[in-house]
Amino acid sequence: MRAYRIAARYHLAELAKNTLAALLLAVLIPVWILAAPQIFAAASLAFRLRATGRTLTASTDHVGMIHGCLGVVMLLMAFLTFSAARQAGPFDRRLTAAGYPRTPLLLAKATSLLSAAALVALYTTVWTLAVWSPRHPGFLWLGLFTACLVYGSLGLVLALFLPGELEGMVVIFVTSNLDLLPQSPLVNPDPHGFLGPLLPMYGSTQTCLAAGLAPTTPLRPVAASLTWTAALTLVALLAFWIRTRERQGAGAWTHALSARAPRPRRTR
Amino acid sequence: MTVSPSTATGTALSARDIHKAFGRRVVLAGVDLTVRSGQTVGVVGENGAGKTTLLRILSGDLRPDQGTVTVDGTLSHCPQHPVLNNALTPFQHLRLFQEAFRLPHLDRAHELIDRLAFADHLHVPVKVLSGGTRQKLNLVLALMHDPDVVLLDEPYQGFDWQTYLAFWDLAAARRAAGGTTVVISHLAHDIDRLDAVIQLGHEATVMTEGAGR
Repeated sequence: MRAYRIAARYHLAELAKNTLAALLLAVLIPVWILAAPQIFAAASLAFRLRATGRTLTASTDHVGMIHGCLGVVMLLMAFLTFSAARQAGPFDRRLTAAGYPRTPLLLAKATSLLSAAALVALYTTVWTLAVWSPRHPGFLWLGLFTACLVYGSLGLVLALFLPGELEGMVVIFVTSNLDLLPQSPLVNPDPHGFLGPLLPMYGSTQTCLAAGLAPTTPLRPVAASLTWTAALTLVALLAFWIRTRERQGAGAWTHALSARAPRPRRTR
Repeated sequence: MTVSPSTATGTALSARDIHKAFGRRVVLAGVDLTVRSGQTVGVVGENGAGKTTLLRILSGDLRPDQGTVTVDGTLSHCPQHPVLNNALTPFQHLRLFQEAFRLPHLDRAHELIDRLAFADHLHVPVKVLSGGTRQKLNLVLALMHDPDVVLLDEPYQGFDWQTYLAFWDLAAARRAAGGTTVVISHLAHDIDRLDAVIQLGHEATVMTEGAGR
């Protein structure tokens, strides 16, 4: 328990020290929310909410606000977790090789991801409420929270395979654009085809649109987001487990056997 | 390529028939070595001779293509480039490694920090520390639990002269206490401080016992 507490405290402090991400969040979210009415025409937009099949009519600036906020929070969370994971990778290997228990370390990482996602979603929801009254504010938070989780865990996965920060940011930027664009009613008011619901941002976008504009709030998109989060997190966890699988402790032991016997083996 | 001990008392670390290649470039081809308990042994060789690769294999950080390493006791590895978390302070590093090593207190770590003279930087994020201070922390993390065997990869890079001397005082104290130390070293400066020297070369690996003592 103490191992978990120490690691969780330091992981949260580490995320909070990413001042660029904090600054971007603090500034971009209110700027976008306040600027949306000055950017989009006050016209109504009819679009089909795929999760319910119903056609909704909404003000263009409200749809633009949701689209923009999702774009900001998903990019920031991916940047935050990608940057932290790349930074911590070799250090975590050294720490676990020294004997730090891996389960509390993983739980601490999960805690910091969930906490950061919850806070980012809360901050964005509060600013939205300052200028607009979405129909289901709690669900708006949930949609933003799941967007943070999906892209937060994507950042963790990308940190495993990409060599540098620049490569990571380019991949995150391109992926998020291609993912979010077809989900927006502004460019795709009558979505069709099987591929849209399979994209990572489908669930979060549908949840946020329903939360802001629809009379009912479907749960299936939330499940889709959680499935993406679970799958991506599982990849990151497996990679962490494999990469930190080293010998620990005292006593006489033998390691680094031939390639035909890949696992370390104690001799007594 | 064989390095063998002159006597057979208390082997702390041994490696047999270590082979390692990166792609088509063969770095280690059949290295054997034995280090007895309480020895301070230097590993020397030209750039690219495989010193760091050998230490990473001895520590278990890198898998050889072939060969066996046997260690008696606790082992610690101080990597060539400091492996630290830039966002955390040195004190936070100590707390994490205290938990990893299951140490009841940090007295030994603070003793090392005093000897290496960086107590003033304990609560500053690592990312703003100088290269030398980062290296000091890197070394303290490897030594704070008094491991039986420690592998040091050029541990004094960036140290000033006083800290360099303090490092060798620490190494001498470890030796007096029966600890085993393998250090990638610069032969010309350090030979007098070593019990044996392992010379890595492309053609042969040679061990000289009683190098400087």
